[in-house]
Amino acid sequence: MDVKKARERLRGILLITALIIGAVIMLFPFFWMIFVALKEPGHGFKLDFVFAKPLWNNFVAVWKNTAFPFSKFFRNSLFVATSGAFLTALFCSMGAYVFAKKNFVLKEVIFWMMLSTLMIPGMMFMVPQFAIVTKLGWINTYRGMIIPHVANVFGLFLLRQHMETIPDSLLNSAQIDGASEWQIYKNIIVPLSMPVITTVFLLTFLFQWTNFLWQLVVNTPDSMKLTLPVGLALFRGQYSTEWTLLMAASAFSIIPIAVLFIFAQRFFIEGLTAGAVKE
Amino acid sequence: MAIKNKILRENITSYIFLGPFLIIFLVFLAYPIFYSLIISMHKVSWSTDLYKVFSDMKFVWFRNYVRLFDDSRFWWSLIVTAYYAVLTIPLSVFLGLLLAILLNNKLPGVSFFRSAYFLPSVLDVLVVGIIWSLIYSPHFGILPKILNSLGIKTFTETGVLANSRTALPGVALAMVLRGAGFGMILFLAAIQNIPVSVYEAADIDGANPWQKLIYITIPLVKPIIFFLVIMGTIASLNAFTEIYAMTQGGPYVVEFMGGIQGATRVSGYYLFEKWDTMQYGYAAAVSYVLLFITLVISLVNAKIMRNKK
Amino acid sequence: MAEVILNDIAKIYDGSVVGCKDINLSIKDKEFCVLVGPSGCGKSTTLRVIAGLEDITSGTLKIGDRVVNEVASKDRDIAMVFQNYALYPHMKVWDNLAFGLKLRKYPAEEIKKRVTETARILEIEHLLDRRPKALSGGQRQRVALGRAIVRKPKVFLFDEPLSNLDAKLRVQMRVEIKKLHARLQITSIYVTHDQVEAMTMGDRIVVMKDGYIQQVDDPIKIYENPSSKFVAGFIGSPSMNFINVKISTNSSGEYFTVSEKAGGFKINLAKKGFAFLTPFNSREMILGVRPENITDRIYSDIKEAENIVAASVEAEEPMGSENYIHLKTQGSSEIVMKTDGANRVKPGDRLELLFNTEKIHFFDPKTEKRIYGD
Repeated sequence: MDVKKARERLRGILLITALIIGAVIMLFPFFWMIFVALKEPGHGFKLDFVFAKPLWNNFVAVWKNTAFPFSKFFRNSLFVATSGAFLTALFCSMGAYVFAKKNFVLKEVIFWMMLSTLMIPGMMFMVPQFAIVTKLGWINTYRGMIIPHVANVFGLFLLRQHMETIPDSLLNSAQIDGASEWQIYKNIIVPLSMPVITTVFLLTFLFQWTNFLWQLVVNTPDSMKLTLPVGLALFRGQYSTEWTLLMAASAFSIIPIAVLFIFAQRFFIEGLTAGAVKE
Repeated sequence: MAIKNKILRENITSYIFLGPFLIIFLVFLAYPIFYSLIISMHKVSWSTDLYKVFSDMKFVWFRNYVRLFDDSRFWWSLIVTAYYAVLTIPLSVFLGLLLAILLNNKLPGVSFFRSAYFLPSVLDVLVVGIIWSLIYSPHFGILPKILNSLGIKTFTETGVLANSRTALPGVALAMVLRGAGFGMILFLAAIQNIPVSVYEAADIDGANPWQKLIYITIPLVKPIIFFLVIMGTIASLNAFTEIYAMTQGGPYVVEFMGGIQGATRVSGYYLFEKWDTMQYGYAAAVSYVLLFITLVISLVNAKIMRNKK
Repeated sequence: MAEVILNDIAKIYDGSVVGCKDINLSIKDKEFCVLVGPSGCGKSTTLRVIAGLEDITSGTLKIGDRVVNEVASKDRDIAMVFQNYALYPHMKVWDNLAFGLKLRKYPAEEIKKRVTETARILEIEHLLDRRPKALSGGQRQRVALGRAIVRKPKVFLFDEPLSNLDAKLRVQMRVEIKKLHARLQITSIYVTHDQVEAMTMGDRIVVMKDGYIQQVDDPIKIYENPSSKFVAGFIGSPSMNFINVKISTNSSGEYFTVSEKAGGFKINLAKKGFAFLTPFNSREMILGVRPENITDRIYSDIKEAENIVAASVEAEEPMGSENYIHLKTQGSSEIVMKTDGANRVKPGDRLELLFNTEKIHFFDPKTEKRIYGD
């Protein structure tokens, strides 16, 4: 009896140890980033504990940097991510509503078209999207940075899947009560789909915040609207050996998302698993 | 009469709601697929005003594709991409499954670990790449330092990323450690869907833990494995940011088909380079060929899945 | 020899939660033994302990002549049928049946022989190529049975295997399982919460409550001689009527008077036949009488006006061959009477009832144990 209990306890301890080691290995880069970001410039390489005075100095320097104003980059990223997420959630939910609950000509054709674009890697769109954006004169504008990616097919499918579970009887009784289409959408569909809409919002926010390629492509280096990843890349071009500053700059991109994740992880996990399981 | 009106109204309403999405979709997703083909049949002329460049392109038929055929760098990038896929996909599937099995226990704090492992997969690839560059860097990076103290001195001078043999594996390792959490979450959901009684029946039938893993757990998570393989293939073809962050395609020391090649120059990065040097026509041709390859792979995948039933 | 002997078996969770306790049971070779009781009574726990899916906290378990406390499930030579069948979802029926044999490295010839024979017995030969998804509930049940049979174990364990089937199928499968048992002659331990199943299938039944055994006996003996109020109420449907009464002696001293509280009926019982009530004189008791042991005076031969229980009809449940009549006595006790289907009543009708005094039971209100004579 005791032997079995002891064996179980040992197994538990081994398991926790393995998990801790795993967590350390996977999270190590981020701790390292913070560690280096806190150090005195020039000591980035050294394994000593010479920290910046005051401790936050590097962060302040990066934030206030005149050539690469991370305060501006941060604001740009925030604006792009938020408006992108909002527009995407709005348009995707409107579109999902009609796919879930309405019939219209060419419904199957459009559906199939959207489905097929899911299989195409994003890289393939880079050149033509750039061409279109150039022709429209949207280079270096918020429009060009946000709008091309608002049509998120994955988000639409996710929302459609959820909306199909809303009973038709609710919509019918609202119609009988005299509600217009927009009122039905606003007062019934949206509130009942809030969890999934939030998921789409958060996933899009995450995507826009970390999107590097497109923001690099659509902006020129002198653009006033650079987002954090692009700003960071250009910053590195200039300060390539100042690892302490570089790490502090990196932190600005990472920390908001980490905080967002910790508070909203349920949505991330549910959103991603729902999409995958459907496949 | 009323019914015809109703159908018409439903159509109008639908298109109004779908409108914003549809317009953006058509302009920026559907149309580009064809537009790309058109661009690929043009060449950038030397009158280069950034805003006029696309209207000023010259029509050159299939010359870009012919050039592609002879381009050693392009073929090399396909090889590197395949190598990258081989490095990243099995490892991340294995790691994801391993973590899911470890986490499928009722120990306290399991949900903490689950969040900890999943967190890296939502963070910026660029930043992750830059941090790993620091970790890998010669002389001062923490990894060469650790290896040095263990007696492995190969990396002290060059660091991991400047060594042509270890550059791509180094990038792959950083990305696998970042992304394994995603696979883990999927596997965890699938494993937790398997009723306990199936394992108990296996216990009574005489299976030991290893046999239970092989005969029961793995077959039942096959769909997830497939999904991750497809995702991983698309990710390899898309790979760009990590290369930009860590190696910029280098080191340029490999000999192939009569040219010096970059050890980490995956097709995604190669495509970007063509764009960066304003060879838009040629870049479009490259992306079209890659698109074709992707379709072939997806079809093959679908066939395999249908056969396995 | 495949006896299963449980000696003082107990399973305690986390130091204090009782799964089952003081389990002493000797299941004979080839016996079909049913563990029955409401949810949480410990029957499944006991079964899982026998299977080796739960560790034994204390006591010894013997299968055959071996003490198997520390022996792993796979080496106990047992087979189990689960409530939700627990078939391997990704394997064909053939592979589901063959899995246990393959793990034990039986030769391919032997596996083929056993699987085809088992499939034939259970009439599932045409399903061998299918996956569990493509089978109906009843078919899955047979495959689960097949998986157990194919191993030719010493003991079969059944964990509520019919609970997930619809009523008609359940009745059909009950008979099939009994037939199988008669044919294969393997010791079987069967868990169910359905007392009808227990009564019709068991050679012996074990009634359990809250982790303890209440009574072990042949089904009919338990029906006629329940050892406690719980057993009496659990076995038999509709269940036994329980009425709160008080015992006193009548004036002549020859009878015990059983009076319903609040001014209800009074029944006189000859002291000779009910001597065991003596210690309970002037005490409150619980009277138990089964619905079929209550008759309407109109239909009986007894012409005296003695021992009449007056009651008024509240509702009837005509079942066709029988009628269950719900009544309220003058003392406000609610009782159910089972009578011939042709005897119909209306709510409000006043009836005069007679209890068959040879078939009434008395229970101590505090311990709920039955008070016996010899």
